[in-house]
Amino acid sequence: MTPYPSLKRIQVSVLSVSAALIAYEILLFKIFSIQYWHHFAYLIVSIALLGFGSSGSFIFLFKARLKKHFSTVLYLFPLLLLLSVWINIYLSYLIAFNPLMIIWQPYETLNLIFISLAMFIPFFLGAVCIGLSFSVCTGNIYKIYFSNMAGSGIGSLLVLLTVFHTGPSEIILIISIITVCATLAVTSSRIQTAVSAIILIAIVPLYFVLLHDRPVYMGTFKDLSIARSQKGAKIQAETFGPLGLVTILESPAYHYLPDLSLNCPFKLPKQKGLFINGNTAGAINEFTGNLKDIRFMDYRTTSLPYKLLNDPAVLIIGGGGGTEILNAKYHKAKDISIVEMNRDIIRFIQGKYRRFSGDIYNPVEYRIFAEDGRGYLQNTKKRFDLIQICLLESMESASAGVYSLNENYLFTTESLKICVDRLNPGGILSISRWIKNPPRDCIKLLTTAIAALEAENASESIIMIRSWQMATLLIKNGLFNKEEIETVKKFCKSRLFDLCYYPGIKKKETNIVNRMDESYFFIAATRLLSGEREQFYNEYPFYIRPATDNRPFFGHFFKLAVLKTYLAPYGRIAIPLIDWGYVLVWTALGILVLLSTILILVPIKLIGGSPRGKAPVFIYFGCLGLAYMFLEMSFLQQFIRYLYDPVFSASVVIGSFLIYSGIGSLIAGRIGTVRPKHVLFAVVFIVTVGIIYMKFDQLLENTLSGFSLWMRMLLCSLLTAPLAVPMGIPFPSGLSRLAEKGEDMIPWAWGINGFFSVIGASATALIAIEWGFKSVVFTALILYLLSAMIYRKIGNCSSW
Amino acid sequence: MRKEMVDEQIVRRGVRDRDVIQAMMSVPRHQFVPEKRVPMAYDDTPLSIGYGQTISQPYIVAYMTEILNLDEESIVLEIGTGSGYQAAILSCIVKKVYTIEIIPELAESASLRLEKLGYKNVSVKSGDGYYGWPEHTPFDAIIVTAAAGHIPPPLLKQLKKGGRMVIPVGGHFMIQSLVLVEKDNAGEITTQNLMSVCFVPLTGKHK
Repeated sequence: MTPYPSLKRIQVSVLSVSAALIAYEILLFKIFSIQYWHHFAYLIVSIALLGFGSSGSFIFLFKARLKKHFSTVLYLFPLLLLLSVWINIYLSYLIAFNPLMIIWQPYETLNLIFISLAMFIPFFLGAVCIGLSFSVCTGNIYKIYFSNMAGSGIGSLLVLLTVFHTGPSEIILIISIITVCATLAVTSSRIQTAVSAIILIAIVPLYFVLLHDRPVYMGTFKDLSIARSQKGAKIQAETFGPLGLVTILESPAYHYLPDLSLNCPFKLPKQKGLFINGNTAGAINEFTGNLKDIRFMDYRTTSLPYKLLNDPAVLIIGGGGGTEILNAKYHKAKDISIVEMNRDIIRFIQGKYRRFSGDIYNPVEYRIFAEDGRGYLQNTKKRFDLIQICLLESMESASAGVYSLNENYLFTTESLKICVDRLNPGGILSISRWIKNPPRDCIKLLTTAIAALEAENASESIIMIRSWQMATLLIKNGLFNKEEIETVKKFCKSRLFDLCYYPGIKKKETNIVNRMDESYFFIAATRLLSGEREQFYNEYPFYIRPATDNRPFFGHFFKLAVLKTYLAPYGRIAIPLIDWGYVLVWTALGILVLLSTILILVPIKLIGGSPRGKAPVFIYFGCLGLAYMFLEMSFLQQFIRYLYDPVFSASVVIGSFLIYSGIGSLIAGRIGTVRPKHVLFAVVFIVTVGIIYMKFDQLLENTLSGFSLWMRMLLCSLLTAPLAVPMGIPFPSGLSRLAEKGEDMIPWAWGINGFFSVIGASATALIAIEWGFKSVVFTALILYLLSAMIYRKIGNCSSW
Repeated sequence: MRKEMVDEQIVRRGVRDRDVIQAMMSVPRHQFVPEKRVPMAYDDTPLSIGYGQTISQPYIVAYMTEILNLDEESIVLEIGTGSGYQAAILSCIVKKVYTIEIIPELAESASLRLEKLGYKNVSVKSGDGYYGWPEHTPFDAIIVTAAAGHIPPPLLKQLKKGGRMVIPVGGHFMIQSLVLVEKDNAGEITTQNLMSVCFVPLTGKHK
């Protein structure tokens, strides 16, 4: 048996492997969001993370042999991890998984399983290294846990911050180097050292030969793939940034203007396609500076507010390819401010496409803010005559329900209230959405807007019109008068748009040109504005209650009744009506629970032994796995609102949580024997801080909003400390307590914690959708209290 | 299998036009799908034909054909040939079909396939369907199966007075509804959203 490496070397190895694993997890998520969509990425990564829990069962079954060859495992498994990561890149090209067909063709499920299993392997290999280290270093569990958490924190920060300047291939290179360093830390012979050194040297040229500039594989069903296959189409520019892959497509066949009137007499200009992660995100229009070339702008639903305002000061949220900027320019807006979160889009249009676009992101002519729309609105003191919130998703993506799980803090009642507050008296907020069938988005937009205008004469302050596929809602800071209403009517009549609602509208005025089975929007508006709001929410076949900051899932429309209402009587024709994102998360959760149950129970069955006394271990480590994920992900959401940037908030929260938890583990290690009262104290601290943060959420948001982004990031990082430090105590304390009684159960406990962490990720989304993020936090706090009560019993359990 | 498809998926769902039913019975759908999909050719599902395109569910094809109100004198324009299946169905009913496909590989394979199977009254062109086929205007009916960012004004101009255009909405794999565009005898345009099933209105009752 090879002697074990020293503790410090083991720690370096665990830290490196942990960093590599979390970096790979984040990278996988980004890559799958390009290849497929957000919630399929979620599904695949969730299943892959079962590797963590499975490693516990594996170690548990083969612990004697693995311990005997601990040094070899620590050396070899990271190398296998590295190999599997590289192989996975090529596998992603070979497995042609079409997630949209999974509903129609069950065989696609096999492709999904293959992909998930392939992605599972690196996590399994890495987690074996970490889990086995806990089993071997039973006297130093706190230090090993610190290395695990600190490594994870460093890895997440590394990826999330380097993604500003690197692509997926470069990130794989970084992961590879870290993984080889993990082996160098634990080499036990010159041969091993030489092999690791050779691999480290060889990685860079291999990267240039095999991975450098290799494009991310994109499914053939994605908007960009379809657009690329058209005659004359080619990618002109592309960059991988923190908000995904931005692509500009040159194609003579690209024509994008969804709210165009049926009787527009003017030609559209040449356009370049704008895509984000392969999904349509609009167009860059050719503009020579001659306003006559963009007269078509007058034939769009989004032009309506310009007919009601004179020389407005305009704020455009989601500048994108610049169509709304041109709209504002055409209508002679006196002042244009643009908020566009994606710096890569701004960079492209200010650089390569400056001339083509007519310099629509000219920083001298316009005020440009590269930040989140909600964040800008929260911070600015400026007032506007018109705020335009642009549509930035394709009809195809919207129809597939791919945004149902996305948190959207712009379309919540709190956000719309802020928008109206930023309007001058008489100013207008304009929002456009696709019309799906049956209507969902536009109805939910109405419910959210009306809730935001509560007690503010909502019925007199909204107007809605539509084309055949898009609706535009206007919300006024004030009341719409008769002249304005007449202007709206004339506008719609001349452009073949339909009136949906204006103050005093009659049903016979609606649904005339672009006919639907019912005057859905008229009925919805009138019922919502009368006393029938609750009844309407309950009766409507889709979930259309207002989105709030606590439940910011504007794209979630699923109700269980939909399955009974549509699928049962109409069968497969009704399949496109279901929002499958939500269903997929439940599917993921079901798969995870099933597989976790098997993988937790199988070792018990195989080893035999009495299950008596195992329940406290199961409950303790299961509760911790769930609770940690619940809190981490909930505060990630909360901090997105404080930082107004999902990339930075992810970096700050994930990195801080993990590193501070590691510090908590070190502190616990200093105590020596951690007694139940110590764990209880830590848990009470967690509960207290958690409650304070929930209670004073709004106060925190308002206080932080006055600071610069970097200061907010620092403050948010510091805010995680009081929560995350004590959260680093219960897990290693539990393992130490088990170690005192014989380390047999450590791998099993590690596995349980791993499984429940993965389940916790899916469960967070579902609980938040149903009951809000505060419920997730509340559940986490209850679980921590339960674990504190159970702690003393895990010391009394029988061994195997 | 074709008869079963027609009985179960088309007639049972309310398609009544005899010409359409006859066309669905006569066109060998399995000849229009990739070889590995042949066993599923007559299933109640869209099928991928490559390049991100699909051949629609049989019911959708039949329904779209029916609502165009075609007869043996009709001249039809199709935007988005795909595999050529819809064009083949149309060709059984109308005088002439002009079909445009923007993906050159699909245009070529569809053209060869239609020729080989004997659908002589179909002309296939590779190109951008946005501008229609002005040399052969006006058209009695237009089907736009390609993803439409908006209804192209040139196509509306090429639709005959009294003509109909149908557009599936929601993407190839997730057709949520069909939009029927009608140009009346005065040239006025209206649209109608035809849901493929009767959906629950706001009162919460089934139709």
